[in-house]
Amino acid sequence: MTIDGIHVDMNRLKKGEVNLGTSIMAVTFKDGVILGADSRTTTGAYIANRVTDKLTRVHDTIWCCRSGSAADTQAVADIVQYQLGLFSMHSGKPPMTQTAASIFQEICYANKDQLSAGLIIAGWDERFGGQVYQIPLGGSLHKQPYAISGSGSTYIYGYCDANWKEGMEEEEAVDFVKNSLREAIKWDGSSGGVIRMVVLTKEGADRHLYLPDTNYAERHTENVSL
Amino acid sequence: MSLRIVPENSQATSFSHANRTTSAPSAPGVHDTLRHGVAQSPFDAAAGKPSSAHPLEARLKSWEATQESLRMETLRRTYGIAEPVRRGMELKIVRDGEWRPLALGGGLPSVHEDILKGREDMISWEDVFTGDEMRGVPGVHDEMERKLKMQ
Amino acid sequence: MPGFDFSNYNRNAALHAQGMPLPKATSTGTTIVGCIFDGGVVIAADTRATSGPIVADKNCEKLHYIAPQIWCAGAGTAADTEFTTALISSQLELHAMSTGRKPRVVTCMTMLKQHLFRYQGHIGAYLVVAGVDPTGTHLFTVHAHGSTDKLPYVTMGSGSLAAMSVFESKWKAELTQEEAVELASQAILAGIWNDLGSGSNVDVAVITPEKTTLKRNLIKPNEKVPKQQSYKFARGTTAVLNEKIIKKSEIGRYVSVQEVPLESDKMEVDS
Repeated sequence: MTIDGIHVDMNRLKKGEVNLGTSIMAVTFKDGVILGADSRTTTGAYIANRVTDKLTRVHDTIWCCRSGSAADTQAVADIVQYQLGLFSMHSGKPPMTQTAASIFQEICYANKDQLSAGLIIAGWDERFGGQVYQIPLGGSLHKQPYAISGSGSTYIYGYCDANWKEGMEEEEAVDFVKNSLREAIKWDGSSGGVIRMVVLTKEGADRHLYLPDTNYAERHTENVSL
Repeated sequence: MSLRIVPENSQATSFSHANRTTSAPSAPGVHDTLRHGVAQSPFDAAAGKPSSAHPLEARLKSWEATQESLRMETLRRTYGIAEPVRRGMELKIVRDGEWRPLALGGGLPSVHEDILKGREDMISWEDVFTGDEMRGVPGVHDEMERKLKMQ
Repeated sequence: MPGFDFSNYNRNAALHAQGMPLPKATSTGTTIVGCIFDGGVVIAADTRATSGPIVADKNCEKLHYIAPQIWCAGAGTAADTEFTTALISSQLELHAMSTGRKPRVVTCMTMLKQHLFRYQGHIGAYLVVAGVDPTGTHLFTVHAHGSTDKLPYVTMGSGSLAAMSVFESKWKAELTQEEAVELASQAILAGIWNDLGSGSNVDVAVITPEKTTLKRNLIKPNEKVPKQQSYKFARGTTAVLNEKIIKKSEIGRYVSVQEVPLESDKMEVDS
């Protein structure tokens, strides 16, 4: 059956899932962690959302970067947010990043035949400070000093490896994330738009937004989370 | 126990309706309405099994069970095994204590069961399209007589 | 089986394997848009429904009621958008009565995404959800697989590219209600003129904290007007070369005629 925009094939309608062809990363630094992401979501060749927020809160200072199917990762994040809310209300204290990461891992592993979700979980907690965990497609869990993922990450493995330093200052770490993502956006067609970041420290969550208009140089403060 | 949020892919890759008859099927692989009546009823024992090879059917049939087991697993982790056990027992008591004639939609969950499941303020397609719109339901008297072994 | 009925799936698959084409669903190859303005939100849609290459309905309604202050614009499979919005509308009403609060747009969005996620995109409903609730003004898109987006202006459907080009060139941060209605209408018109799947009229719904106004057929750019000239041929334009009349009594010469008895209820039975 031909697809020319007017002959609608019933099977064709069912396809076209929303994809996060992505560049996402998270890094630890002296006082906590920073999550960063581009903002492009695509359905086929069309950009369905050019200012997407791929950084999702699951608890006050535990956030995740989503890549893969938008529907699947949103569903997983919603469930984990509920579980952590229940857990922290019951125990009366905020959950640890490790707890969040292991719930994410359990869900990703148990449903690996049905989900396409690649996640990075990063958070700050009282006991361990900033931590970064990565969950690739198969549902394994890796604790890392920094993690990069998504289609755009392939272009910045070398850059990150060469420029990564343990225990950076906040400003330095923000620049590291920003410059890495700028390279990923430059080389990867499925990544683009603005750069979003979340800085998680003892003080809580601080959102950053950098626009391509100024070559991601200035931090914008208005409507950061829209 | 696992945190499954979506049912696994369990639909059959091959399918046959011809297992209930010894004679040749009129069209292989297709339900024979003239011989076996309209397709299965929600009250059949076979209702739990998919009646087609469609991937969505298997998913929908095990969807509620998957969600329920996820809920119970969450409760077990938060409150201990006593919580899901208690809820299971309450559900069983309510199910055993409820009987409604088929003509009034027997077999569908009662309002008490809905409350225990936290679905009393919800409506879904399964509540409206119960699946027996196309079939004759036995009369109340018939059913009662059979239930009391008078027939 | 309650809910969806799959009993014909195997038969249809068998027929399809033998070369029978699949039936075409009526799809709202559509342009739908939404836009937030200062003090409310506006959504708009075209009114063409297509079934393959045929226009199935020239003036259908694609703006669906969810709650008094929450409305949905639907693209994708017409039946799916209609039934999904009706179901969620009922769900939300029950939820509002149970909690004793006004329904919220996020609740509606969450119900929609959880419902659609269950069906893995088999329910082809692509929706723009808009509304005003006690927490403020909200605008979302929901895709058939269950993913959602939150944006100040959105477009969906086959005409979304044309409509988005209007938003991307004309949208600004502070809009009045009149400007927002005008901008949304222009976006729909771009879809009507440039997308084959969209056409006919512009429907607009404006939601503010005070009230919802449904402007059905706000713009009718495709009105049928009487033709300015008559193109009928005058009688006698074609010359009659010869004429021959056959009477009923003589018709037996050309075809075999058999009288049918009037008492049709006397059916003949095999003896």
